[in-house]
Amino acid sequence: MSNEPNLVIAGDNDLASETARHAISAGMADPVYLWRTTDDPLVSQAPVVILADPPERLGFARMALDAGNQVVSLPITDADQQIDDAVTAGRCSLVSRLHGLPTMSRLAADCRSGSYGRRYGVFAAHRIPVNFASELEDALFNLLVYVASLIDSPLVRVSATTSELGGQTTAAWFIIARFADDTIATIEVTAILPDSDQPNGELVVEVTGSDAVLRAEPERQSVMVNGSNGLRKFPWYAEPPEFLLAQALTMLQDKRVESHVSAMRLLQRSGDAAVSDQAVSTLP
Amino acid sequence: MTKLRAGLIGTGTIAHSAHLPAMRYLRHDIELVAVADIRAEAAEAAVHEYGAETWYSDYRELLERDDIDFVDICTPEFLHCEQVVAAAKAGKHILCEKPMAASVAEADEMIKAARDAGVMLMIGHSRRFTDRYRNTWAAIAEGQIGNVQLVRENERRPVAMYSALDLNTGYWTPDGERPWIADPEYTRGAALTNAVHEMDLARWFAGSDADSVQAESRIAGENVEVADFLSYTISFKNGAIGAAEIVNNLPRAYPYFHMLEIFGDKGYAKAQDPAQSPYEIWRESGMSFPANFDQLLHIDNAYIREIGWFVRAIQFDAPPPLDPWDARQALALSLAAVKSSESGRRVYLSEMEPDGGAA
Repeated sequence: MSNEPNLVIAGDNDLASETARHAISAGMADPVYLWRTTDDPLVSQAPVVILADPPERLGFARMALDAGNQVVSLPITDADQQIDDAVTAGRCSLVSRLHGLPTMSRLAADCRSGSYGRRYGVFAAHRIPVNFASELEDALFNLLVYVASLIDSPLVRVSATTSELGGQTTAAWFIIARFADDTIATIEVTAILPDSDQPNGELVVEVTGSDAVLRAEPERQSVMVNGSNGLRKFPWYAEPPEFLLAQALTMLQDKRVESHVSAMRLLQRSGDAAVSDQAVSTLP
Repeated sequence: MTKLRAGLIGTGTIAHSAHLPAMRYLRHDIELVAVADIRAEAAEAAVHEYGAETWYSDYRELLERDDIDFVDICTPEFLHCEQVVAAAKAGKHILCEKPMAASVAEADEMIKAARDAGVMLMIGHSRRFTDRYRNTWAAIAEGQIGNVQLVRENERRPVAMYSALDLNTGYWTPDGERPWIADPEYTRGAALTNAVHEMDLARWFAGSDADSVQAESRIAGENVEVADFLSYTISFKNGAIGAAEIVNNLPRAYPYFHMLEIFGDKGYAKAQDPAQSPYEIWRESGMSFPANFDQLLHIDNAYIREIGWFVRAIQFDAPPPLDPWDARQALALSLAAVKSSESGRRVYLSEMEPDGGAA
């Protein structure tokens, strides 16, 4: 048996460690190299799944691409020509943490099978508590990448409206994206729920089409306790590593470059649209 | 209380599904005298079923009668201005279906004509009269959710929505085949047919006029030539946001669905279907919501209140329950969304003013 890793997982956080452990335990990829920091060498030519915290992802991706490895990463938001070229060439793709939720994983799979017939649009909203506003951008980027993964068509135009919702910093994003096949994605991420709500907040994704409407609300799967502390919900999501890893492995085989390019463009141009306060075309 | 004598113009879908049944319910206050429609069959059906004395194929003949106190105009929006102005000149009080008109300039002309003639004009934004939205507004007005920050209203309609109503008559078909509501020569699509409701409600709940809107639209269904899908984000002058995704022509079995979520700085209010549907049936073929559509739009007394309160206002010489200016502003928002979706840019409401925002 060779000791050459079949998979590299990059990151020094609980998600990376748990995913590596799961990959080995479930026999999905064994051996696995857990690449904790960019100070460590990349000792394998195996595909790299980057699950690091947001500021570290670009560094991991650059090193892996320089070494010739295939890359799947959680959202990278820094504008970078090397990443841009790699995504366009099919050497790098973006995965969302939402792919780790069983419900969202199933929705993505049903979209790939085209079970909705002719696709009309995608509505996606993620609301989080006001006191978790610092995680707003991370929630936004993960939702953008997830939505793009549902739509196998080039992004054409995107508009974005931001709001402080009465506070001092941006607390809400409202994005409308148009794709070449006329699919319209409506994306809302807001830090608007009461502080007492669960940190995961409320997530709904709905895909409308001629033959079916697919609607996912993962947080509905929870135990509700109405007690001395009022009504509280305790979600019982399955742990993310299994589904997130499965999605990452699928993406390594997935040659739908358009979807990956759209994810990247959506990340890049939504910010531009918000700054310019106008819709931004993404056509050459 | 004096019974008012009414004439109804346009005996199509909304007349048969909502206005005529409401007038029958209100028969102690309203006597339906005459109806008018260019389609003899539709007009005769209204006479036969709802007991009007007679019908006309030309609405101007109806307006010439001096025994009619008010007219209820249920025609497509491109006819509203002409008919409202004519009714005002004939001295009739006027209830007119939404959307108010085909342009903001027309809406202004209608308001001026009613004011000059000293008659009441009200536009039928029916949802303002349902408990669903009145209770929501009351919660906001009482300060229960604080300052409104976001109004989200998504609406879904199945392709079978109107055929399920089993009407005596349906939409006017100018070319004998295609209904006017799907013909770009006569309407602008979902922005005016559906979204004008949502925009009116958002403006009401936000408590502010809009500053600008960004929108995208498309044609989703088959054999449709106007946009039946619309997504928009409204920036209100007080900082609140209004957002909606309107989708028509969904699969036949999909329920009529309206998601209302209002977030304030002290809490939120939600009314969501089908999660809160009052009635569900599970079969081998899946789940259905048989009472959903009726519960939302009709059984909830919306049109009975709308027409009944309008009549009361005439009887008591009081202001109309809904100022036409509100309908004019909702129309401006809808047309701004159309302009934004066509141009691909943010559109400011000042651009929609007849003087180009110079005032």
